[in-house]
Amino acid sequence: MEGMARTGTAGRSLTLQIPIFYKLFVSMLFVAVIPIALIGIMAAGDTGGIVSSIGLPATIFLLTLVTLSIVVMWSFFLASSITSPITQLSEVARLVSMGDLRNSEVHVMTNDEIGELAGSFNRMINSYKILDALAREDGE
Amino acid sequence: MPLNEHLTAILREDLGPSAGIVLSKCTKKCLGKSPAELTPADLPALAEACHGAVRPTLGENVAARIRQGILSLQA
Repeated sequence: MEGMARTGTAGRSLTLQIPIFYKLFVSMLFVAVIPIALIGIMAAGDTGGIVSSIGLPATIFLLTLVTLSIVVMWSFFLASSITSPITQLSEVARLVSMGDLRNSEVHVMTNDEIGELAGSFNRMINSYKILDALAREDGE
Repeated sequence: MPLNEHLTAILREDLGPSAGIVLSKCTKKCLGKSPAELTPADLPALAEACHGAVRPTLGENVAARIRQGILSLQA
């Protein structure tokens, strides 16, 4: 595994490259810290007014709801950011394996491991297309 | 590193394992020589030949990038 964050050039723009390992690692820490942070806020802030107005069970329920909402939204965002390029790559691989080279370009814009995989995949498909074209040319 | 290896490395960025074959075909077709005999003076003609060979199959973006890469060796 290379450095936690490294810069790479995509075209002419400078982009920050964060490996998926670290994205997941930080996300897990973030999710683990949310309940602790909420308890800290409760302890540090003047929450006695809230507890006395809506009651302790309702306060706990509210905090649980807030925590769950944040965790669900964050997990959904993270899961879709990882799986959607893989799904796209898988669909293109399926088309190519069936001999369809027309729509075989993968448009993955991420600069992590999946972006590198997509770049390698595109290179492989380009090679296949060129060899196919040369073979046709030689046959004519 | 010999010029033909530089050229193969540039073509490999987009064409992968077919880079050597494309270089060989374009060099022979356009200049009538082998890749090992290439000189810096051949680069403009080779860049155009590779651009023309790649564009119908892989599109203008890839072809232009290859042409630019080959011409950058002139400097």
